[in-house]
Amino acid sequence: MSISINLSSTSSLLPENSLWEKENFNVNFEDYGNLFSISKSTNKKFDYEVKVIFVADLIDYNDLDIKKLSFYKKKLSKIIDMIELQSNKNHKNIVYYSFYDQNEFYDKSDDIILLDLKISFEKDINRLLKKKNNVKIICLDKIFSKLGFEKNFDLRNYYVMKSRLSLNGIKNLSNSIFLEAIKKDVRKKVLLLDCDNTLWGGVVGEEGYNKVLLGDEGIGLIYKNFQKVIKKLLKNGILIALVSKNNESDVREILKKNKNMVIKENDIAAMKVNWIEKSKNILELSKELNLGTDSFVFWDDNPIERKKVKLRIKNVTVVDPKKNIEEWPKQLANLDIFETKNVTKEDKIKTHLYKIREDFQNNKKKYNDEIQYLKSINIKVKTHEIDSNNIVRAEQLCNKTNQFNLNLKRLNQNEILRLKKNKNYDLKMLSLKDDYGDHGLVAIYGIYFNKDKFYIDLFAMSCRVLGRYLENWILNQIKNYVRNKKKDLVFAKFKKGPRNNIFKQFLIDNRFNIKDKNGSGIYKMETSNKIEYLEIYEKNR
Amino acid sequence: MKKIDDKLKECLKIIFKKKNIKKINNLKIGSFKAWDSLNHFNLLLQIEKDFKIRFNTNDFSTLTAIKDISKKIRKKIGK
Repeated sequence: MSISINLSSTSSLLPENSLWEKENFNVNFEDYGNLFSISKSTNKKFDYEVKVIFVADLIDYNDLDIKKLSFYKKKLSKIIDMIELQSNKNHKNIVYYSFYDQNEFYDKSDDIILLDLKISFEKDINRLLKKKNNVKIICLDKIFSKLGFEKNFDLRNYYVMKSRLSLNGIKNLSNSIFLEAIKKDVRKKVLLLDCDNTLWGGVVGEEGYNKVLLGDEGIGLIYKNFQKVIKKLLKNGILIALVSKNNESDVREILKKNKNMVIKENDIAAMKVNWIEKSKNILELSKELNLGTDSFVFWDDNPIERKKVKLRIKNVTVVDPKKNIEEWPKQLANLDIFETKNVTKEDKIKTHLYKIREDFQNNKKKYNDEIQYLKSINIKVKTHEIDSNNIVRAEQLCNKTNQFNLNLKRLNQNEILRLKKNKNYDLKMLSLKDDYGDHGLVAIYGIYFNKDKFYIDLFAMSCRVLGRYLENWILNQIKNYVRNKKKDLVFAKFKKGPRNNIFKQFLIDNRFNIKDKNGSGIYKMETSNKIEYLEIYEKNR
Repeated sequence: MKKIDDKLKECLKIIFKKKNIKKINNLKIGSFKAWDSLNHFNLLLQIEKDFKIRFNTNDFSTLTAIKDISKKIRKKIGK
């Protein structure tokens, strides 16, 4: 993995130091004092671009007074604008910044002005983060404050080699960079929680729903704050599921009746409260929610339960909660493995949408004639052009859909806009409604015309709505589009990923000429091919 | 004395990625191709870490040869 590092001003991070050497990583330091030097050398390709900004390099704190404040605010604002412009590339960007100045010979009464500048800079950062999901910004001062600034900064190093940091500081920074780089594929969607001594103190089955430790004081407050962090994750689109060895009626009672519970029954997307092994329950949850166990994070106070889950399901992230429970709210809030950026309307009501899916699956099982049942639930599908109102969702569908995805093409907003402007490209999104509710925008597809052939270049659909044959309806739309252009064949660029076999099966079911059942490739289907189950949608467009 | 030299040799091996360094007494900045001012700084930091000592700002400009560094170390650790 290659990483490029750019630095503000002429500070040095001791590029030749062995702290920058790590197996599988290749770290390159760009021109000194040019935060944006890579933008000039566009032929260089990196997996990660890191910028390290020491604000004290850019602004002379001695010169900072109320008159110059707005000038310096603009100066820092421009840097954020530049980062926004430059991050339109395919790689990830991490920006570290520090406001600390180890010289500290400026007038301390100006601290309040410095604080004002910092607030303005951080507002600009938030503005940027809302627009870009391939940028991560980390405050170095937060990392350094854990060990103390004195240990991370070294005034002597600054005067001798213009290195603001001590070896410790460089070690902390390089470790953070390597850690962030490894993190790139981690994206967790579900938090699995135990109940007793996790969501509240004590055992609800023994103590009763209103006698457990949960409230506004002491240990009860710790559990309440822990629940508050969970609620925040929920608001950011993370699903919450309970996996607990307990009587379900006891857990439902506390969820309903205990007034100190921050987490309510409606917040829970799925529940496995019984006396069965947790690993079995987790595998069942994976089926029910239609999400891989690699998107699960498991939190349980009991180390034996944690060990058993770790042993039996390798790819579940099992958190080892800190010994002192007062650390838990902070630990959960800082886990930094959940996908929480760019929250869309769909994210905010995700729990609700998954509940809808559960009801749908249960009712479907009851009907003998699946198609008759699907016809009865009034499915309505609508096609949408991509615009500024839904582009974040389009990006999300491209980047978050792992299973029902033709070729795992991960497009960012700019790439999507470029395709939209391309005259040889037809790009659409679809929304779905039925008796179970409004599912929002659930699918995206793109048809590309090249050298007299039509290719399905993009096709991703949220697994929440699988089972309604919406994919068949979409394929029929594509087929009709191509047939109207007087062509007999539709081509699909399939790329095999770890979890998109379901898409390959879909192509096989629809008579694409797949010979090699395992690999990637370009496959074709005749436009005369009749696609099944369209009657479900006939009356309801 | 020998112990200090052996430890110094290890520091040099780490910084300049050399498998074998025989005699170190005559070595100084520029003795290897990669021994520039930046790597000299890295070397002194490595020595600080391994010997658990700290050089002052002035040391960084005066200690350019291993012979002098070795002398300084002995003085600092009292041998």
